[in-house]
Amino acid sequence: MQIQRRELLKGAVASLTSFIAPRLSFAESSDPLPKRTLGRTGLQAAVLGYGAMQVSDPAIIRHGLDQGINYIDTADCYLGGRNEKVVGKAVKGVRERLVIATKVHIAKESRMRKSVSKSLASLGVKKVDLMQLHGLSSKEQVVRKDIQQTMRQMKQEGKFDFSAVTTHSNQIEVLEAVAEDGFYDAVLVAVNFRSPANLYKAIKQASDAGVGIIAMKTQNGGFEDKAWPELTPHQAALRYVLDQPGIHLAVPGMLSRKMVNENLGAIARKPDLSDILHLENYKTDLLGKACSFCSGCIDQCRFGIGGMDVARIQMYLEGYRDSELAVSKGREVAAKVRLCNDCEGCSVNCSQGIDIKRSAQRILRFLS
Amino acid sequence: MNICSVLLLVTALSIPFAALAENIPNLPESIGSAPALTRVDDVRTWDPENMYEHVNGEAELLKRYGATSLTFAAYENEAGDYFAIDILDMQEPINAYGLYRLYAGCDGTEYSFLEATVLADEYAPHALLGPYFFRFNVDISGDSGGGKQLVDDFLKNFISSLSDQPSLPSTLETLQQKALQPCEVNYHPEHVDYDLESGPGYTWTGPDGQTYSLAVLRSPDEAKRHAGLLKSRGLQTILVRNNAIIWQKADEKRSTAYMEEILKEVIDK
Repeated sequence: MQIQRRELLKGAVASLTSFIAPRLSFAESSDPLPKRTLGRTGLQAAVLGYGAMQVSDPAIIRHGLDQGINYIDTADCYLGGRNEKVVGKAVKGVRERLVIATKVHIAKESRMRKSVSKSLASLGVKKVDLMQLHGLSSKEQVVRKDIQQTMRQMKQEGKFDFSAVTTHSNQIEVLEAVAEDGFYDAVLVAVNFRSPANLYKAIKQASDAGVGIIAMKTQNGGFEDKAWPELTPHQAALRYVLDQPGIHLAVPGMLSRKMVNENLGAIARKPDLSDILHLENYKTDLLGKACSFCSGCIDQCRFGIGGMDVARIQMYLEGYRDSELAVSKGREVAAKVRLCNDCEGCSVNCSQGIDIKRSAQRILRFLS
Repeated sequence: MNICSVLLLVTALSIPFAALAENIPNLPESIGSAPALTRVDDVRTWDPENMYEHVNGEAELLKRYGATSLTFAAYENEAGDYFAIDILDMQEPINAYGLYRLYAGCDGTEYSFLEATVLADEYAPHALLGPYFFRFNVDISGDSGGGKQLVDDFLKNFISSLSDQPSLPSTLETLQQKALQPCEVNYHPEHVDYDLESGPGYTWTGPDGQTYSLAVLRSPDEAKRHAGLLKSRGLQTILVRNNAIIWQKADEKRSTAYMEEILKEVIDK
């Protein structure tokens, strides 16, 4: 309890400091949806962008655009390729004032070219603003010269204005490589209020190097749904990320007008001290309990399996309090749980404070 | 790491993969010919909570549609040809249909192969079979047909190992006959309308170009309660018959003969 209180106060002070400085940029702007410059691209993007991945109704996206959102993120593979057509319908007539970002997978040049051409046709545009290489997870992928050459040629041919990457795992390595290498102009990175400090540090360093930073999965760090002082948990989580140094905008997924309006509300309403303390309290509550799926444990584990399966079963048992689910899933991964339990000394230093070995012991006791 | 730990690790890791793959029948060791593609690595399976490891953010969508497992296998040959499959167990054929139709829309070329429906594509064909949704990743030199032969061979092998699968609800067939085109009929297991938070149901475009939605509840009482809930959320025109409710997206504040006809056919069948 004492440790938790210390952590709470430390985090609250840090959050308050980070809230005050960036808050000035919001406070100075009378625009209900302020814009930021996306790194060296020079693109002016509203801080709330549209993550279109799951949306099949262009009217919902158009509602967001009509409220001032001017950045849309889609991909060649979303909804089996149909998402770009949905976005294309939504942006008809307003494309010129928008920043459109889509994606292409690393593949042979011919396939990448076909994919990009198909994306442009599906979107109904001559070019997009950002073309993002999808799902990079290593420095090797970032620095591949053959891929950069293909991207450079397509850019010169006028298919897009800027090259970028997306990353979901090994994100710090990817961010550092993009900053150092200098070829890609922006990174779409998964980050939320529970992400570790070294990820935020890598984000800031990349941003200082001129890389545009777009945040995704900003609200996936928790699942509390009870009432908060001024902001809902989703709004607070979004606002937390947007107020961190180096982050230019976020692209939460919005499936309904209600979700769009809720996220817009996060921008309009300034968080006060009670929101900050509540968020820090919530974050502290989750310490040691909930996995953030950062995959950091895998490299640290001497067996290369990490502790995510153990943490997941613990979450079913102690977080969701679903013992049936914990039993059925626990049995599937029992061998890994046993390995953790039998391991002489766990080498994992979990970013969320989960004691993997102790959790494995608790799970095995429960399963037996 | 000593030899005992290595052996323990190898044994421990092989058990869960074998156990998890058992619900998916018979993935072959090789596929195709001249030259054949052989499987690389073990077959891998994920559940809804860790599916993101393989498909990143798409896991959220797959979970919404009811996916209970994702199984992945990849095949390669010396010529650099590549063929990979994601097999999603969607629990119910209607969930699999909903996901398939979301991805397929009405734009592509579909064909029937044995009991499966296949959406042809140069690189990413999809298929629907009972409660299973398949996504293929095909890169075969000199073949712009999306590896059709490989896809068909794979499905034939898969089908031969399956027992009888439950069929799609008769409601779907009724709506497909009444829609502008059969491919216009969609199903969502979570919310057919997220603005209304409407719950699961069907949605389609009618011959008049309007969008309609239908929910089939468990009882007439539940249908009445659900209709009341949707009205409280702003919906003006909603028809109820027995345990089914229907509404029009444009909500033109009038019922239509078409909506009544649909309800009658869905209930009476």
